[in-house]
Amino acid sequence: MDSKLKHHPPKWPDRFLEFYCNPNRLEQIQGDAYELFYMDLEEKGLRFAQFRFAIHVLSFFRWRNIKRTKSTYHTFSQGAMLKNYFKIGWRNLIKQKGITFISVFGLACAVGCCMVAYLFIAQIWFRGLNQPNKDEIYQLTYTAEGENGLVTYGSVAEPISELIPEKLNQVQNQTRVLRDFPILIYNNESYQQRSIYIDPAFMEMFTYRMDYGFAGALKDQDQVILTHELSEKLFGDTHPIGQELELVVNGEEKLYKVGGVLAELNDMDMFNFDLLVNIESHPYSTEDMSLEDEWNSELWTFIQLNKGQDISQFNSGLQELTDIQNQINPDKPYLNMGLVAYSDLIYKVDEIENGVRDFLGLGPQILLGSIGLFILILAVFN
Amino acid sequence: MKGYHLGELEELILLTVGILDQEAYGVAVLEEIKNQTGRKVNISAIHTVLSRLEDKGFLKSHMGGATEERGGRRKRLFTLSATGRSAIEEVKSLRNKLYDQLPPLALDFSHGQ
Repeated sequence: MDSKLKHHPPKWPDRFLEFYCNPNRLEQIQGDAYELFYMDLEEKGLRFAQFRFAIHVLSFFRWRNIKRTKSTYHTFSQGAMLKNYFKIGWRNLIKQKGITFISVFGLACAVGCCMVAYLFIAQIWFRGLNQPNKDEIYQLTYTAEGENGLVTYGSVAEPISELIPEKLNQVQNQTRVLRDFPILIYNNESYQQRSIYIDPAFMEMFTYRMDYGFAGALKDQDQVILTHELSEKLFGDTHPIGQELELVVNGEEKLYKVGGVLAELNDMDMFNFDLLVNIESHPYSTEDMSLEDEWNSELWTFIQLNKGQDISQFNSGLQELTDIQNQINPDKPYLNMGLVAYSDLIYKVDEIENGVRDFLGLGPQILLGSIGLFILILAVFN
Repeated sequence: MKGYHLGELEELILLTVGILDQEAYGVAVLEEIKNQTGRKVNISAIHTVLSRLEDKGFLKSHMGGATEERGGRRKRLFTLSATGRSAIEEVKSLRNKLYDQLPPLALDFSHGQ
């Protein structure tokens, strides 16, 4: 007897048992577990006994044995009380059908309104923020004298992007973004689709998952990348890659091949689009324009910095760009140019004209949100 | 009468507690079942069934003596209650009644041909 009491059951399972076990049952359960431990120890040795002890502790972990904050008697009486409440509540609902209908229907509508408001605001706030490079991407902006003071614009003169590699060195990638609504013709049917015309570097700056094809397809000017939805709408079950479609911009037709299809976007995009096209294939790029006209046309321009780079080092470069622009296009002088972080674009909805998010300012968002909440509160108190 | 609704393991454990008389607690029931039937039942299952039977009123229990093997912890000793005993009786008589209605074992060749 003495020799076997040199060994003790393993500590961790024992403590675990003490931790979870209902104090009323702990003594008998622990006692039995110990007794079995010493029986196993005698028959099969220490290792086996320890292992079995742990198994026993685990098998005792049952609803009946677990410690609870309330005593059983307490829960029982409360259960009866709650049951009573529910019964009376239900009878009242049945009795007054009209009022019940108003309350339930009103609450349902209010919850619906609140959800719509929430989704509306959420899609403004959370879209595109999963982009892995979001901290390195900046949009070029400029500030100019407007009628009511200074105005900041989200788009800059188009030729500036050509000067970026020279003036703002060490920029990793850059892209222009041009929105257009070309007519898409496929199989003799035409559709109006939201397109963005971009530089191929766009696909390196922003990350999208691909269903088919590859992200570099846009390097070929004759290829386009479609969203999942558009691809399904046009091609259904047939394999989309290599299918031909036409885009009509300003009366000019151009033939493209499908080079890729994006997977479901799942809020990966900051922009609204159905297809991506290389900007060089847009008629506006091929047209011959006077220098002034070129500088008058404005585009969203994004740059991607190297990781850890500071934007203050670009100040002089931006100043040079401003000077060049003012020299060539003195009718429309810039006061200065700036960079807005991609993740800040949402917060600056009100401040940037012609920006990516120009569509609902902060004020209306707050208004919408509070209307939703107000309706909900009214319905709850009803 | 409503009947007792004893499960198979419940019945076995109830009987074992009856056999052990004053010495029935978790490990003793486990050992007894192992010796009598050769069946290895999980200790936690025995505890669960014992407390369920107690809830149903078939068993009574009290805290018994402590031993050194148990690290000085007391056993909870179970004994049959009057209801428990009558439950066993009823189950047994039901079994016997059904058993008596079994047709006698006879070689019946009528199906084979």
